[in-house]
Amino acid sequence: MIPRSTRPAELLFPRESPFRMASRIDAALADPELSRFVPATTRLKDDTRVAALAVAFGPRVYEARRLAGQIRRATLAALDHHLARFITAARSHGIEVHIAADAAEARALVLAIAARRGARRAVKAKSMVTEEIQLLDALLGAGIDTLETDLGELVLQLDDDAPSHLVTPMIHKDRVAARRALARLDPASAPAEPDPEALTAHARQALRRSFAQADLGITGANFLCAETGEIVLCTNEGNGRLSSLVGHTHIAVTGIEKVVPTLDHLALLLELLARSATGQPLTVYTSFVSAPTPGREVHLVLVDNGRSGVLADETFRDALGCIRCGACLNTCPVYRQIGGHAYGSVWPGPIGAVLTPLMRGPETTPDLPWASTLCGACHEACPVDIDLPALLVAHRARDHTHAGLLSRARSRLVRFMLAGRLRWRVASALARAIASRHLGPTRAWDHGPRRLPAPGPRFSSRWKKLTRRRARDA
Amino acid sequence: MAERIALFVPCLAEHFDARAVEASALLLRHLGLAFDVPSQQTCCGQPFRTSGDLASATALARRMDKVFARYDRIITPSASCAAMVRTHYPTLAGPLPIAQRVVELAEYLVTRDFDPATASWPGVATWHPSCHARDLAPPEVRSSPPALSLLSRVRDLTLVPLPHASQCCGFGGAFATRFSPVSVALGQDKLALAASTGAHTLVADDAGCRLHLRGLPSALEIKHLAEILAEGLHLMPRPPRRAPRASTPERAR
Repeated sequence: MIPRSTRPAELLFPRESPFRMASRIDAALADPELSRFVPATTRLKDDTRVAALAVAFGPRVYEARRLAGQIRRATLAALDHHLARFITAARSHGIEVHIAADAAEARALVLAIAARRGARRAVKAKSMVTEEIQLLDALLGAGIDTLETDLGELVLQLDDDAPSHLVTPMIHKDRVAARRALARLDPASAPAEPDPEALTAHARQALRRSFAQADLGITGANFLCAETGEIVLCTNEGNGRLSSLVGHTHIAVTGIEKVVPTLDHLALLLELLARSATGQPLTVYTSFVSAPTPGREVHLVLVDNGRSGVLADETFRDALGCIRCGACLNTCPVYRQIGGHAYGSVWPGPIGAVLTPLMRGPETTPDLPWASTLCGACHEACPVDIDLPALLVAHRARDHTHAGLLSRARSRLVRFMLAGRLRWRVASALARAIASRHLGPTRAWDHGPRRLPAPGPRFSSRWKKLTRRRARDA
Repeated sequence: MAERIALFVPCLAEHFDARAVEASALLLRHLGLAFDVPSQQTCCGQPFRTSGDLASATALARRMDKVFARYDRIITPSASCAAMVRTHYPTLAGPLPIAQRVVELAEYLVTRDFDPATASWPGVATWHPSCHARDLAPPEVRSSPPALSLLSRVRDLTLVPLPHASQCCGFGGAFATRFSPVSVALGQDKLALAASTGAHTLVADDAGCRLHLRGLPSALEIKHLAEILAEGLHLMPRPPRRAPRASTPERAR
């Protein structure tokens, strides 16, 4: 039987508050596996994304992306309306729709359905919302034997580990680690070599058994189509579709923001999602769940868990447009170095740095909005045109308005000194003296092999001399 | 009437990289342009915006607009500063005339009757694109980078492509000190990729990137595009290269 597993929740839900990234960053930079796999994989995925989008859209890729952004924004601006349409349509073909205000309510809803249906064994497809509400631990805690069926998530479950990427959850591990983990499913028949095909076949044995025995299947949902009332699942391994069909009950869990008005809108988002995530034209399986088959039940748990608050905040509302493709992670120089666990959240990378403070409260994650060089790669990669650097700056601006009197006063002083030539002359002379002695704030420059270069001659002085000499020579 | 032109000096370059600005000024002079270097200019306010002090950034935006009010064309040898003015000023302070008039040096040079092939710069170089050039123009209208097109036409210069060129060097303003370990790791990554091309010169057109990369150990010389052009046109002397630490093919010869 599968070993029971409770994942180290603190990886994605740090106990310390406020959560500081520094120690996890140090650990990530010192982790030889992470620094081998994450930069290489993310760069590869980033290149594949660009190539796949170019093949599909040519020079109109930015037009497609802008349109997708408009679709997401317009939907979010009238989310109540679209959600109500979806719910009415879904209920009309027998999908039972539940709304959970927070994670605890979502877990309770799922467990209540499972209990009412007498579920003992469950299979679960990959879903970030179920990570967000810590559903696996809740199911295991309730005595429901649950197996993750996405290969990456399965490895993580077996390793007591947590996903570090939205799409490629075990990006921080390689096939050797996967072999080690998957061998635990059945040590006797485990392949000796980390051969992907043999490993998949090995995992398949255990997974097939679990699928056959499961009475409950749990999935997420990538989209909810308001026009048709259908739940849309995008997966590559077939486990999502299978999880939605086994046993007597399917419970889909997703966020309220996943609604798309019509099939036409959905078509564009599907075109962009897989290409942006993995460079595929479409995921291998794109499944539409429209109604339960006779004798079965299909439930949809719509999770709010802070989303309404983000929706009401016009500055940050765009962040809810995210379709979880992971492109911003793959392209982010910072994510490439530090991996997902450094963000201490279900959502890592640039989108996580924007979303997590909104969902958990900015005071609990003060580092996140600063964990970016604002290079803009994430915005350029985002298939739904979310201006992530601007949202990170908006977070920093909120920080600033709540900052202590001292730091605000310092900022005002520097601004005052910059507002006049002579003032600036004096202030910059002081700043140069501080910098050349590596004092105060410039001290942080000297890290590892890096030293702050000494200030050089001032351009304005040099130029004055040069022009004077030129006038003399003329 | 002739265009009134001003040179907008990136404040970081004013103090840490006068040579890059001087090269830019000498280039403009070489093109026969009359231009001013307004002495009232200080900082465009970018560090305030990126650290969330939008009120100060806005105040400095208004001030910059006044300082440069009498100029039709405001040239700056930094994509980052140009993007702050062109793209971020309007969101901070509404429409300001300066936003329409600012232009990054390479952007400007390609619009002029300037032939980079008049410059000769024997050597092997690779070019690191400035991340903030992304903010200079929306992606759909962005053409090939002007700096690259200029460099590729300089005589005797072998331009080798930088692998993963679009990855940030790790400077990021406050990021460089708030996240020093990551910043340093990214800088080292950039330098290693640049060194792997066989180039001895890394061209980086933003003062922040250069400051950060020059602070790290490397055999590469790090320059602004304008320095390559100005040296290639003999507007300024080309300094002898620092002796590289490792033995190089040239030394072996």
